[in-house]
Amino acid sequence: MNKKLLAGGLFIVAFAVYGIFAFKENVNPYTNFKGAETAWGAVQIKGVWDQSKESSYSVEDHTFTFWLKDETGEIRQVLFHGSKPNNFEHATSIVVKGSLENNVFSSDRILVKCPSKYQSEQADGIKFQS
Amino acid sequence: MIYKSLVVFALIFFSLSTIGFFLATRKKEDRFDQWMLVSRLSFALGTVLITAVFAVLIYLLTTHQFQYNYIYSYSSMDLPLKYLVSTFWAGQEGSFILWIFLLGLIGLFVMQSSKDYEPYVMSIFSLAITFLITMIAGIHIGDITIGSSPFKTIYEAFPGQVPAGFIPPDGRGLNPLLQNYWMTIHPPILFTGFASALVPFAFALAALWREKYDDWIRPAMPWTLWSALALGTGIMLGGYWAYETLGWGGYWAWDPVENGSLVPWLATVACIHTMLVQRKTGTLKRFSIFTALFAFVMVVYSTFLTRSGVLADFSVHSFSSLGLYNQLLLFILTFAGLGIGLLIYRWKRIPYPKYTKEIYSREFAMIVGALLLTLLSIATIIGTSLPVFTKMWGQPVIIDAAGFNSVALPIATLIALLIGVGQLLWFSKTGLKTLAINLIVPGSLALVSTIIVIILGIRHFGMILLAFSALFALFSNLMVLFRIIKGHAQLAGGAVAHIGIALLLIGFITSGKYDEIQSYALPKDKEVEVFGYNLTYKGPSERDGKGAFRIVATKNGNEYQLDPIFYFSEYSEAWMKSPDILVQPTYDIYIAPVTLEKAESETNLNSLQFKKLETKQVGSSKLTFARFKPLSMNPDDIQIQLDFALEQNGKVDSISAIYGIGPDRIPVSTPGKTKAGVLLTVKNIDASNGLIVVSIDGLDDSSPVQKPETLIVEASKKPFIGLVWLGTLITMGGLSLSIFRRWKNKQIAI
Repeated sequence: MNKKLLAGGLFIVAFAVYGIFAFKENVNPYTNFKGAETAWGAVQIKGVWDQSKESSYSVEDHTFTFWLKDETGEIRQVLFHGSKPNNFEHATSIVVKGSLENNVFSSDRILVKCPSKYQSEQADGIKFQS
Repeated sequence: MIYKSLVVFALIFFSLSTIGFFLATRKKEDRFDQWMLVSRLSFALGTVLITAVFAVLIYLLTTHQFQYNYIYSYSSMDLPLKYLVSTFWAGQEGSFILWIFLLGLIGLFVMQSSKDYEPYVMSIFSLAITFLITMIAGIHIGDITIGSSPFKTIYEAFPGQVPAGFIPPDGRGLNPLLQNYWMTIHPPILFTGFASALVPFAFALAALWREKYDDWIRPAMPWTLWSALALGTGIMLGGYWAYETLGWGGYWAWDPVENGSLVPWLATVACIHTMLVQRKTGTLKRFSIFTALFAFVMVVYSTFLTRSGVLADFSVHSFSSLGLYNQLLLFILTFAGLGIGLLIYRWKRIPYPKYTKEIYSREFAMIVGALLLTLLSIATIIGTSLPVFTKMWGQPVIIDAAGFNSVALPIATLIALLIGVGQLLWFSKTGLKTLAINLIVPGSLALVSTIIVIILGIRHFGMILLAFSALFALFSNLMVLFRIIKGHAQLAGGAVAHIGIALLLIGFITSGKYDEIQSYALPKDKEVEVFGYNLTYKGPSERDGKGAFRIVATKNGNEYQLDPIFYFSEYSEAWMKSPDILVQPTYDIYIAPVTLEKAESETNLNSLQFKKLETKQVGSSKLTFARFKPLSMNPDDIQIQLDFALEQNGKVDSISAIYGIGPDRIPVSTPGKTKAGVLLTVKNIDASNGLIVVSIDGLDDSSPVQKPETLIVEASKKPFIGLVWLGTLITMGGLSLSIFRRWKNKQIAI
């Protein structure tokens, strides 16, 4: 029984180590554009869409380009490999995952945060609108 | 007010039954019978009241009582009945009511059938319901509000902003993404799973409480199977909804809300296996109890993660905060504390009979399988919670889908192998030699098919291993099914469920790893070849009452109509897009609309470039830049007249436009006009290159269209994605067979 327990224990430890490495490889720290300059590998940046600058979708490359203002206020161009997400206009904040390439943030994942997706208003502090 | 008091009285009754059942568990209690009577009555009355609350909310929704904030927030006059019903669970309060209502109903069944377990199990049941009712109580004690009431009026929700008794004429409506058939039935099914997961939890806790570690398995088993069935079906419907509606092309993103139902499902499935082993061999008493406790604690924990707002920054679809953080935290701490605390307290006293069977037994495969499932569920919940905990030390750490995939891949591979071997061992009771013989057919079939898929293009090493083990699991279980279908058909549930899992895994490989994606421009009425189909964009159409675009696809003389949805939603203040899917036996063609480019005709041309004396064909007309004549060269007020000749239908008209630069360097352009109403505007003058840029408007409509309206779509081909749905359905069918057998054989107590 002890041998079996030992085997089981070893197995669990091995899996834990594997799991940590698998997760770690895919961890993308949150930062801003400044942090992305020095970061090694992919990072995530949270910001808002700067609508005053042009955004466009290219059919040939299947990319969507827009400008993002990060939480420090820095504005940079983002090249997203995919189409413009649904509800992009309605997003209160946008999280992009990727890395800086030639001063353009090249991203393969966008998370669009919409307040109204399930819950249409916060519990308090929101004005009534009809 | 009267509606709120229904909730308050339900809260009182369930608190009473919690206490009453608890007191009845004390062995030396003289008033056992009285306490049981009081508690049963309270539980029944509480359930009646919750049913009334449920009915009241339906009534308020269907009669459009917009003075209530919940009704106002989620519904509107124009919603058809089926979507009015789904507004019930569109918000947190409604889905809590649904959950409580289902718990009440299940509780009544359990109360009837749990015999001497009744006071133990029912006090835990009543406690969980009591906690959940506090979430919707809306009671004010001093400055503190407990719960968020679904019966809050607009006036209470927005004090001072609207007059008392204010009734808005219409509600804000239901999120169009939720206006979908699957979203009507997905929440009730999922919450059935969440609610039934409390039964094994309560029985396992009662087992620790009573120190009787074996006889809880039998009454808890059908509910555990039922919970796995409901959770699995709910997860599949959610995935199908995402695939069909959201348009990002997939069905699973490892999002916290999705993981929140996956983790309890994995734990529940692990629990089924440990319970089976325990019943057969008497071992694994601790493990069975742990998985049963873990599954429901994970239900509560994921409720906490998704509804307290802690994950609001990290998930696309967490509910935003309703101020229930503290209550939800107390709920999870209580249930996790009760479970873990009692398990640790009793740990040493739980007997662990030696596992006497050999390693080559079906039971051993099930033990390892259950262990793997538990590890996967723990890894998933750790990965999901990481952002919440790492945020306390600074930057939150987020695991993306790739991280979860790489953890799940080796586990899925091992589990598939075990599914194959374990089921074969069931038949090879005599040991290794028979096993070896039984392995030949499914093993070689799997090997041959794996070689075929490698030739077909699978190169990723991990995927090849997963493909092999999934195919092996498939063939082994088909063989098992084949042999038992005669004579022992009622035992087929396990084989069927495992065939489903094998198909599901194969579907994951083909549709997840080997899909092709490409975007295309579809000019109106022009054929474009997409994945072997000729696609023609035909113009606007309608699907489910929503704006869409018609695309006709043809291949080998067959014609298909696709209507991807694309319209502007007033509710979301955004363009809503949903794909349309061309379903074929071996693949799906998935067409998601991206954008529509408006037609640009020559009658409305924006930037034509001219050199001096240059003539351009503009549709059926010819336009010549004849000359330019400075009117004023004063640096503060430059004015230049530009003369054009327009030849249209054999007639020549002249147009003179004026372009000037004012004192503040701002260009001023005065358009020229012909008698027929053609308008020419100079947009820019590039003096150094001798170029001018003009726009012209109002030419004959007979001129040919230069650039037609063009629909941009994202098309993807997903091979064998049908296996994902088919596999899940077959697994659920297998689970149903197992439930049916136990029910028919009266092995269960209901």
